[in-house]
Amino acid sequence: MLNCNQATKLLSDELESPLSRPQYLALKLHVLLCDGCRNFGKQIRFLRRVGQAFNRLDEGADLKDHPKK
Amino acid sequence: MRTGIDTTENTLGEHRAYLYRYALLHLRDPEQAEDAVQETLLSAVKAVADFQGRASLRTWLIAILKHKIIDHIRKAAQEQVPVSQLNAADEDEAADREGFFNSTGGWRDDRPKTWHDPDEAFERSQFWEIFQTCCEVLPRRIAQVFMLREVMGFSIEEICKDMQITTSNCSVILYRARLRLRNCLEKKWFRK
Repeated sequence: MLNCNQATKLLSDELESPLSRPQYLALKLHVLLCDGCRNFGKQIRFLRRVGQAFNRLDEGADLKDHPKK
Repeated sequence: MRTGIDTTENTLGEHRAYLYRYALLHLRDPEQAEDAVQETLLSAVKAVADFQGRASLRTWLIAILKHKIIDHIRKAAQEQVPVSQLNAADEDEAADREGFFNSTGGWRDDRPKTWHDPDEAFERSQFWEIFQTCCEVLPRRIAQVFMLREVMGFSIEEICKDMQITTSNCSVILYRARLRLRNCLEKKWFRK
């Protein structure tokens, strides 16, 4: 059985490349039973969308210490 | 009397502060950030004929700046000794466990909570300030890898090559970035 440290690492790795079959199954089982890691998985996928949105914000983004127009 | 080029140079100058903040966020080194901005404005002045109303001026400048930032990251990586990076990564991995997980690998105290309607944050300028603050407190190399991967959208293979690190090293660095950023956003934004 995976612990939360191992499960969150696999959730992170899963964003980069597909896991092996045993890893994938072990992770699904863990996430089914662990709401903390389930949230972690959702939130790092959200973080990816935050990064992409930040990249698109270039033109109008309010970077810190930069007065708004 | 102002010629077209003069106007452009003045206008370019107005974007300097913004470009500097942007470069600093990625490079985390004032000197390198300043260099990257200089190079960007120089390229922009030279290439001003290409611009002619394509997109907005700032979008165009940022597009140039991104290339300069990558050049700087690549150059800095080549000047470092890759082996010391590996060791540093291992130490930090242990630090992550101490910070977020107990000795048996369970969440130490705060398990990630449910975030309600996270997408609402995209519309709020304060959220983007907090996101930047959270990126700024990341250790420099972790921040660089995260920005290259999740903001600029490079593949993990390209990042490994540019920063001269292994894929597994890179995935550990991304994991650390995600652990820390997630935690920071939860504390500073979602638990308000």
